[in-house]
Amino acid sequence: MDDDIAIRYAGVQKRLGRQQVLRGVDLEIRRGECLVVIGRSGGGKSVLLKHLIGLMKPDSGRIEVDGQDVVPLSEVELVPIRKKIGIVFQGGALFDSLTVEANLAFPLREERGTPAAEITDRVREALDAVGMLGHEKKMPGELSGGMRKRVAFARAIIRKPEVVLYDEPTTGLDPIMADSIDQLIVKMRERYGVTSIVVTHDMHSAYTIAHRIAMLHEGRIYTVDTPDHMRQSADPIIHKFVNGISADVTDL
Amino acid sequence: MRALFFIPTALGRGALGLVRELGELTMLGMETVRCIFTRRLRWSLMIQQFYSVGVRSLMVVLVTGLFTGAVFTAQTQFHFHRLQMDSATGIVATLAMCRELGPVLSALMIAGRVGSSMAAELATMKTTEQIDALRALAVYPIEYLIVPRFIALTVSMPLLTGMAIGCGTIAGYLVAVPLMGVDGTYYWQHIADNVAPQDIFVGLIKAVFFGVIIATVACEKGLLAEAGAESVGRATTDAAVYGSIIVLISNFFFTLVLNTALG
Ligand SMILES: Nc1ncnc2c1ncn2[C@@H]1O[C@H](COP(=O)(O)OP(=O)(O)O)[C@@H](O)[C@H]1O
Ligand SMILES: [Mg+2]
Repeated sequence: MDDDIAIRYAGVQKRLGRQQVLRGVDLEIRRGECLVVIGRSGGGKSVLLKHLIGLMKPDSGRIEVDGQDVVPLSEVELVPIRKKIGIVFQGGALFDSLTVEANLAFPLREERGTPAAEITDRVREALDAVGMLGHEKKMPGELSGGMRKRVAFARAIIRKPEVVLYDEPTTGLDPIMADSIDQLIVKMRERYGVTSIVVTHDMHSAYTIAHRIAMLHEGRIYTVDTPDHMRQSADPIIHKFVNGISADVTDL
Repeated sequence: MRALFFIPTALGRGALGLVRELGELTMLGMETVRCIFTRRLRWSLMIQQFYSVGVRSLMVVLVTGLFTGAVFTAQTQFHFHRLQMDSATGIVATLAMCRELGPVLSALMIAGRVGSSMAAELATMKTTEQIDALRALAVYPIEYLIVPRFIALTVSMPLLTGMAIGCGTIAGYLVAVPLMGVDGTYYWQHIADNVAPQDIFVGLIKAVFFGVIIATVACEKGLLAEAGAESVGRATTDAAVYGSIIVLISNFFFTLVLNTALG
């Protein structure tokens, strides 16, 4: 048992409808590491993240968090796992019926036992971290896409989880905001030793934050390597993806 | 050849679909009831739901009760008057209101108003990953979303139905006595002699079950919605249509069973 490995996917397969989305994913994430997952859209990156916290169950394979296989766990048994993992959903997934403030307080209130004054402080602190102070009373419907992303980010980290999963945290943000989110991801890791998995299409952001980059291609992890190696890779599939060259253009 | 098999195939599919549907409904219903007894009850959410389910449906249900009672009494009186059975008008109208019209029409209105909006809300939460977000935050969606809706609807239904029955009866009196010239004293006397508390009781029991049916159908349609905007629309109409149809069909069986059991 390798103590250094926080998360391990082994032979994970998943079929959704007619599509074999995951065809045997093997992937290990080290404790405290920031792993960036890249791959074409519709390639199963979000599905991969959802499996880790039991939102989806694989057809076969193992998924371990701190050495424990989460696949056979029931909703109740998953509670301790979910408490140590925060997730930023691709669309934010803020609760429509709650204000920004109540969205952020929600995870803390659900833990119960956190005093109200402390909740208020931590909500402010988290909003401040994502530059959203002053928007406490707004409803999610009144926010722009980028603002929603930032609030979702704040909600995911407010419990100070050991592992944070970011599903396209910078997509749709302006470059400056995207950069500040990247800085936050780095800060979470440096300050709190958070293990991160970041799904992104933004190669600039990937190079900034990643220790290693994994490429999900046709339902498998095609490569895992350092940002430098990925950038210089001669492999045509990786090369095309990281340099944003579409197959149609190169075929001409 | 294919045309020959089309009808049996479609029927078979329909039957399978129905069985699956009933299975899903039963599972969700049972899980919800289990949750009520084993998990924390969210009082503040329940009160919010009481407001949006019960209080905000008052107008609709009262109007339904009033005009159903009025029209049914008028129609009965037209015919009974010709047969010189004026004294039976109040009895028939009130019994019909208590046992069938009150509970069924209220339930249909609620299935349309509340069932559909519940399904729409839950389906939207499903497609925008809010339900996944709840689970990710270690909150059980049945406990947080379904139980408050289920309880609010199940408790509101008999209350609303009781009011519909009351309104219908009063409207019946107003139509029969001042409008159509039936003798007022006899009208009440006949009702008092022939309508027993258990007639109202039958209506209220039905209403409880209709509440359970509407809530379960709406929640199931909402929770099982797939990704995409059109699936929210489908969940919304399905909740109203299936809810109403199951209410109408089950009402027939409730009537048989309750009449045998309670008289
Ligand atoms: N709940 C679901 N039901 C059916 N198909 C799904 C579901 N979620 C995702 N898919 C399908 O799985 C594939 C991978 O989706 P996703 O993981 O969201 O891709 P991405 O890599 O862009 O995040 C897509 O084809 C999508 O249509
Ligand atoms: Mg995705």
